[in-house]
Amino acid sequence: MKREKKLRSKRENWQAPVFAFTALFLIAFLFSDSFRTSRNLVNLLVQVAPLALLTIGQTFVILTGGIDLSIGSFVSLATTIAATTMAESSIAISLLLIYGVGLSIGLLNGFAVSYLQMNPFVTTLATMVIVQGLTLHILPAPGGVVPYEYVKVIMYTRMLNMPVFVWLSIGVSIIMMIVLYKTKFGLNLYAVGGNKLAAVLSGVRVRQTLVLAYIMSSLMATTAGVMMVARISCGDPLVGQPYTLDSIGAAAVGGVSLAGGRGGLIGGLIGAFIIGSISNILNMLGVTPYWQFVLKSLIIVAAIGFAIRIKLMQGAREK
Amino acid sequence: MRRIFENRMLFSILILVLFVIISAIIEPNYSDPRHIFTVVQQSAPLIVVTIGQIFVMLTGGIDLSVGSIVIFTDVFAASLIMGSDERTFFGIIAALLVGAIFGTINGLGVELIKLPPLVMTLASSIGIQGVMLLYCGGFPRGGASKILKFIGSGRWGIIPASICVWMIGLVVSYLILRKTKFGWTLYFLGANRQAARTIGIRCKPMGILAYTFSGLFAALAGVLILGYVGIPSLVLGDDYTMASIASAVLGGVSFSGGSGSVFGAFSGGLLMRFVLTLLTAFNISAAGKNIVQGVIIFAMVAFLTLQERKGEI
Repeated sequence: MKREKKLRSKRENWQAPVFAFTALFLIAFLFSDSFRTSRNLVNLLVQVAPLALLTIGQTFVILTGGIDLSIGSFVSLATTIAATTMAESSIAISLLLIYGVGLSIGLLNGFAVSYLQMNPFVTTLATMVIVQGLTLHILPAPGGVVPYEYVKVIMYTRMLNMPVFVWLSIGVSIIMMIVLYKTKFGLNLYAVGGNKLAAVLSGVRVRQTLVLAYIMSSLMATTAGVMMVARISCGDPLVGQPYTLDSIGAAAVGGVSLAGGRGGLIGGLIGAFIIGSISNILNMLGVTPYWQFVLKSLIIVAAIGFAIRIKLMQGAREK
Repeated sequence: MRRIFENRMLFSILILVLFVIISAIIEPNYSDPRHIFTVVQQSAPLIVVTIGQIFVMLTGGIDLSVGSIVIFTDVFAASLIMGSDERTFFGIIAALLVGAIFGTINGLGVELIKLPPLVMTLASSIGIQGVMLLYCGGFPRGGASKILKFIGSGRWGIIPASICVWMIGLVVSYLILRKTKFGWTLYFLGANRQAARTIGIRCKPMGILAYTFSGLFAALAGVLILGYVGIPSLVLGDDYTMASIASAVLGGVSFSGGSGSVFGAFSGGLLMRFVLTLLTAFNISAAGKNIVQGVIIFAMVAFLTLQERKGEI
């Protein structure tokens, strides 16, 4: 038991992201009155929720040593399908359709990466372009109708002052943490990303694990899209675009190694909070949008550089 | 015949030629040299960006900031040149310098702070966008001079002047990659970094230089776009990041680094453009173009991967 704990702490290094997160929040808390309001904090959760879901999927894929560039376009695709079919047919059929499409493209990604051994970056780049095309075909411009009863359930129903939207994301995050930390599949993800050959030799089903990881990531993205459509209550072919790179940045800030095999969801989710709340915090501090771009990039570099320094120092101590 | 399949770059040139012939059969107007050269002219910036991207990809890295550098130099050069011929030379040199500096910053982040290339260049692409907006205040001024317009969009007879730019770029970078120690080092870095370090190659400065070149070529592409369009734009060039990676891959550059030729930029970039124009001939919407492009990239990578694996066995 103790040994397992030690192994786990070796796999995930979440002290650095926690430090960066606390620093960022303390600054915002101390210097901005409007940031402290509960209204803004709830709003912040609503803003971060979709990114958090995408980061979960991205973390799974990155842990296997891959990367998924297609997830942002999945979000757009989900919103456009929802906005064009939900009102015409029933909500259930529309959701079924959306998850069907998400599942099949995730399967395609996973199949190409595991069985054809194609490079994950280029493969998902290709599927990203394809999904973008599908999205533009369905809705060339923002529009469509989202039935009010759907929006009402997801966005306007509040429990403890937070919309169902946020609760759903929290629930999914907890389930995914259990999947990663407590199941065989979660352990296999680390094994595949850490050393593929060793994983094969010790009997891990590498191909199945890879396919499952990509399916998970596209399902997370579709879930984010399904929730997103309730928030913006229309279909938008471009809404998901920034999320792809944001989710990679979030995972990296959260200490998930892009080489695979190291990191975890605690760090990944904190990373999502850091990336997702930078804009909000800078807004509340009164920084102009142009400076925000520059500061955001500096914060990302500083946070990840810091995490890498710590890792290097620890590595030196162990030696 | 077999050698063609083994050499990925030759293979992509073969596909390019086949593609031009097929499109000429489908649409007879497409065999008109005037049309072919129009496509060549339009693909000039993409080819130039891809050359830079290949420098980085050879080392096993990736540069996601090229799109932002293209936009920045487009806006920056326009504001320096302000449509006057005398200032053109100075403006172009300044723009190239700034591009190279941005590239070097990327290289420093990757080699010294040890950030993953993907993250470093992603972060810097956001930052460069911010610097660009701060520089021009959200409203780009100025424009290309007569000379620059000629370089970007002029022609001798039917041959576009911009051919010169990327031809020189291709030949120079071919010579750099094949004939200098720096060039070979890049191949070593991508193929096996550990081994390169062990035999005493100084990896860090060479790795940084690769990103410098990438930024330099992205800046050149920005200047070319300015010459082609005539006025600066805040959005033109955003697509070049992904497009340059895709065309490098179509040109046979290995994604894991260490193999590929800079001439892949030529065949890959042209192939991307020819596919787009053929789809336009079929009256296919932007959505359809995206889908076909994606399918082509997917199929090409699948094919090359299978080919590579056959070679291993």
